[in-house]
Amino acid sequence: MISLKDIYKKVDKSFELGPLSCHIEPGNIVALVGNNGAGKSTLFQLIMGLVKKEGGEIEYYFDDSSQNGWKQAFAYVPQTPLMYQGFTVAQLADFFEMSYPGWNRNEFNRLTSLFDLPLKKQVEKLSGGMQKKAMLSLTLARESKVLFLDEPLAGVDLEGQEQMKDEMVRYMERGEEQTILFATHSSDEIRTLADYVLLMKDGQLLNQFEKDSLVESWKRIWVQADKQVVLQMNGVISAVQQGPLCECLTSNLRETEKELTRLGITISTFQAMELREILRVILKQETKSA
Amino acid sequence: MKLPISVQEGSRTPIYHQIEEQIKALIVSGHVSTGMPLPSIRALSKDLACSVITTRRAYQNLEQQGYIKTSQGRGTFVAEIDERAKKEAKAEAVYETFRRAIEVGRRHNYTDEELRNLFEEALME
Repeated sequence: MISLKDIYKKVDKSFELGPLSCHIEPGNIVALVGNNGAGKSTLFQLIMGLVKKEGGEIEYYFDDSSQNGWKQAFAYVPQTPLMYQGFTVAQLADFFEMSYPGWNRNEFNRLTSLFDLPLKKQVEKLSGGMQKKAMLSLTLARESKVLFLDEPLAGVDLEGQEQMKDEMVRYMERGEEQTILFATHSSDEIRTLADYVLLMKDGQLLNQFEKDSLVESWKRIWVQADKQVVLQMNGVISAVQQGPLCECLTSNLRETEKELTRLGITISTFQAMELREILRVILKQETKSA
Repeated sequence: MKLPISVQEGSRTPIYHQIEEQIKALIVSGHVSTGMPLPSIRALSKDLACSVITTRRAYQNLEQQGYIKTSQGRGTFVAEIDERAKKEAKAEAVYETFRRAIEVGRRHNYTDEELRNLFEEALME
């Protein structure tokens, strides 16, 4: 488990991160979602100890913590391979092999042939998607417990996206404590990969959700009732009246339905809300209340 | 192989229950046979775009009811179930579907008699 308590970092005059707290349970894939400049990459680097925090505590617990310590347990694929410019993929493979004990060349070869990667090309001459595939191949060949991915699928072709998702699943199946944290703007990635969603905005952690409970409790419903009555109910976020019918969004279907039933109102129709819509509404709401 | 099941997010039935019922139906109808390996919790979660919390719950319930077996390190398999249990499960699945249809009917203010007529009509098709 990784446990953050009141982590704080002043990046520059205009941007502070935190103080924020959260727990990340091993065995899960966690999506970090937020606006541009929310501090997702900074948070990654703080957790990994690549950036020094100015306040708060980070604790790491692993059942089988390797003798190399938790820093070896972390693997990171940044958004761009800036620091590796000038090297070919093959040269980077040698470099990774020297740097990380247990780096697995067979696994690396399997991945580079899966992704059809040109090994003799310099990393910065590869397309954006190819760079991602190269960095992921190098990183997945490491032994690690926690994988940090910064927008892993952005710019990757459709086939590559599926392959990378499958590789993420494969990574998780290496053991029970495997954990992935990935920053993303894509609701498709959250939908297909994440167990939990961490929502960030402007350096603050807004909320943490289990993905399915979010989808199950947020619904769009239509009821024969007056908008003003419905808006008073628990869970109701917004309502639009059209004639006798009222369309409303609820963040807590069970609670809203309880109140409706008490008033003898039945729900005419349900509709699932798309994850992207739910997240957008939450982000908007939190901004209002902040 | 991917399991031929799908999740309806707009449904009232919780996702874990949908998964549980569909896998149960595959087993009792003989579409998947005893000893057949099932996808891992993580792989199934990706295929169905739901969290492992949900798929784990479905698998745990199925295991408790004796439909599947998990062995450490080897994965999850379809368990052996006796014929009577299969029959019961089949009846239960159909009963459950009827019950849901009745619920929809009541929501539309149909009387029992009208529902019976509709059922007969559907049977004649």
